[in-house]
Amino acid sequence: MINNYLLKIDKLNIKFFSDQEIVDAVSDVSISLMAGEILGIVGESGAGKSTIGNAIINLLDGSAEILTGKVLFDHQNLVGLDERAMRIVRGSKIGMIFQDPQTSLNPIMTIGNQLIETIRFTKNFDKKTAQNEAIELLESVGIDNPKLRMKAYPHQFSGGMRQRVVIALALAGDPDLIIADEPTTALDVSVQAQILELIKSLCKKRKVGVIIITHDIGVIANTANSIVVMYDGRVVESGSVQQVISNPRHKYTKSLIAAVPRSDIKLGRFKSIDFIEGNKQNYQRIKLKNHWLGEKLNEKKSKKAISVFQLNKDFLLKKSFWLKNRVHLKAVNNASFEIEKGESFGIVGESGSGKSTIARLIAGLISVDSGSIKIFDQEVVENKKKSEVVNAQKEVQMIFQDPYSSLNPRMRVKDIVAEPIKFYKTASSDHKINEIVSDLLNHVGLGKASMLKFPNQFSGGQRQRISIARALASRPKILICDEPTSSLDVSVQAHILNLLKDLQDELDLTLLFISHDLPVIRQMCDRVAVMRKGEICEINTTENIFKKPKHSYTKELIKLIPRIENIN
Amino acid sequence: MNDKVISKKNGVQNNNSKIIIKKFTRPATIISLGLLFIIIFCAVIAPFLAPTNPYDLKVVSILDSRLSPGDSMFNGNVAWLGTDGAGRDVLSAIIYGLRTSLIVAISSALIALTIGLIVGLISGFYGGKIDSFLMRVVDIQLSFPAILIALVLLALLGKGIDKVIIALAIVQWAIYARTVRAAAIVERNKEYIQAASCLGLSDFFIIWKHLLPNSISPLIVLATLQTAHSISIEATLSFLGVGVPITEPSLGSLISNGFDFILSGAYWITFFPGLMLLATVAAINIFGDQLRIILNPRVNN
Repeated sequence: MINNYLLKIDKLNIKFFSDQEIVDAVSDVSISLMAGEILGIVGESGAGKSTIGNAIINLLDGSAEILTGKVLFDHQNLVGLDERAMRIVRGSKIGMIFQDPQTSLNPIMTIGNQLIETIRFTKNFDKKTAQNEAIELLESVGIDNPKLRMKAYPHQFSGGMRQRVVIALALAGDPDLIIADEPTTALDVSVQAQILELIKSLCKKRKVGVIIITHDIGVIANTANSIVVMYDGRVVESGSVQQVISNPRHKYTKSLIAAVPRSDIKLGRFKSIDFIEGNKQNYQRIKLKNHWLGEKLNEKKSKKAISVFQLNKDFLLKKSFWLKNRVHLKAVNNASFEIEKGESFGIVGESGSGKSTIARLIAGLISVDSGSIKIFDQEVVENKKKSEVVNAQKEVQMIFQDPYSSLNPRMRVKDIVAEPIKFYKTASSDHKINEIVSDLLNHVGLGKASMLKFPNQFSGGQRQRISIARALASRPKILICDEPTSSLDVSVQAHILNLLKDLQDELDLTLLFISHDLPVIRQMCDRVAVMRKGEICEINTTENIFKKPKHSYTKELIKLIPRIENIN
Repeated sequence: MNDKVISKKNGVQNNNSKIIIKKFTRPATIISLGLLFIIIFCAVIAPFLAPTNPYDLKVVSILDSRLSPGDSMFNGNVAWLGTDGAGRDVLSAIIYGLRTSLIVAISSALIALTIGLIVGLISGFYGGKIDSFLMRVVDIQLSFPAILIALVLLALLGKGIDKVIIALAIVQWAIYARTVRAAAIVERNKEYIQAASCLGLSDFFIIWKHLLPNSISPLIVLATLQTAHSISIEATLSFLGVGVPITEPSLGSLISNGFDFILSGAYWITFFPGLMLLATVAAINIFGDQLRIILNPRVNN
């Protein structure tokens, strides 16, 4: 019984060496895994979880070095194995599933050929047997009509299907261990559930050990058997899923669990998440009521912040000189809804459902085909007076999904935030502008010191705070948040969502919140619209959507939410 | 934790500047940059450097014509690189010619860059019909050989340094426009541009403050290489006799000047200006290539 482990990592220490400093990436980590077991490694970005995954298969990049410790796989120490021996282990004993299925498949090879190549390399099969094997594999990962799909290229598959192909590739060598690094982070919720279910059943059927690396403890709550929680390169807690989730001992684990948005009840704020983001200083928040930011400007009498009526937008998919050869996609199809002043309105749907398009139409970033949009009773679509439209749209600000591309890399934070104030000359002097910007940055939790830095000196969550500060600097009344947290860690997400809620209360903002993540919507919104393929299926209060969904698609979506609270 | 992340990032940045310095100390970079400096320096201080003023008719004497390199001239000066058919010192003529060549090349490159930048940014920012129209103009421009267009233009405009500069600018703007457009389209689709238009900033402001600084970097290398290109086009034009006027000869006109004497054995009148032209173009080209390596973060060796 003693040596029954499939994988045993013993006191692993990894350091990153650079010219400037030495960083402890992984310190004293010991992990063990049995065949047929699923182990989840959880932690925020930079916690060293991916480094462990890469260390197992010896794919650490040049600056990292394993100092001490062993990685025992099938009683063989993988540390220090030469490249040849390692290749055999990598191909036939250990399979990898990466985060982004878009980049982990070769775009110019059919998936059939990619599978056949891998099978022939690892098993020395002849072409015919390999082909049959490949078809079988595709079938086992749930791809319909596998014989036909063998001839397809990766771009002809959807994200979820592609991830299935990646799993098939990982299984091709009949591995004993599969390492999945954030396997569902790039996927929609509904697809995520299917992929996790697939991994679970394959693990059971084939008796392989699986390591799932993720930042979202909610994702693996229903999938994994045991969990290892990592913080700053160390294992802070480990144990079975039940034990760790229902009775977390370490403060960090508690924070992580508290940060997962719950889908069963709406909580006011995410509580006890202070441990995350390190010893964060509390910056002096300002009293917004008496501040420049809180000044009541041209108060609107209208109770409706946004009313959208029969909105339509087509995108040209295939260009052609001849009208009849052009192919259009109905991105938004007859959408109508109204948002009350001060309300949080959510739009939820899978990618490609048109929810972001609606946001961009309202913000005036793209033109409307037909229909009407009113911002505080001011028609903006068919209005001849350009100044009225500009004034109305100034009330609407947007926070974007990707914090890495939403800030101009060549401008200092100070200038980014001050831009709208300077452009509209809403503050009297440069001194005043500086004061406002510094107050704003303090208020969103960044501090004065960040003013002179450039965006690339900040992490994703901090960048999103800068985006929020910039949006607030033009003193909007409506804030559109287009998946503001979907590229962030769950823990950072909780902070950003708390900040948004605080700001909404303080400034009496109207929020239009767009997300594919139902639990987030549940925590943030008063009312929700569910979108599918450009159409709004259902609009109702959040409570009703979650408790009494009417539309079949809504029911389906609700059913697929990974639930951390079920464990308790 | 976060502070650590930041300090790591800072570390990376310092590393980047270190890597850039490291790349700058490669032999090819140093040599080409050094050569370039010398060439530009010579051109700038030409009146002080040249032994004689080759265009001062009081100094030039027909008795000195076609002296071979190293011979003494009538007034006692040594003609290190010989003299041409009119008795002018070839070394001095080269130094002055270099000046003309560089002025023409650099100013035409700057004008072409400005036009190309404006067209490319407008095209990339607005897209659609404006883009299609401007890019078709660029296509037409690029489908003719540069030298042909320059010849036609100079035939129409007449002689003169300013005319040559205009002709070279018209020949070259299209390639700048196309490069800038490609960079601008990439940047235009990033969310910070959308955020800026969301703030209601004017198009001009967005293009000027956001789009321009982020799409200009590919032009640095291109501008260097194009300067070398325009030196050679100018030399070709002058050689063909449609370039700069004979009173202000460039390297090209010096080469054509000595062409008649090659068969009679006075090779130096053509050879040395040619060598100078080669050195200048090669130095700029190699430096441009090195610049491309330095500025490309992916090339790390």
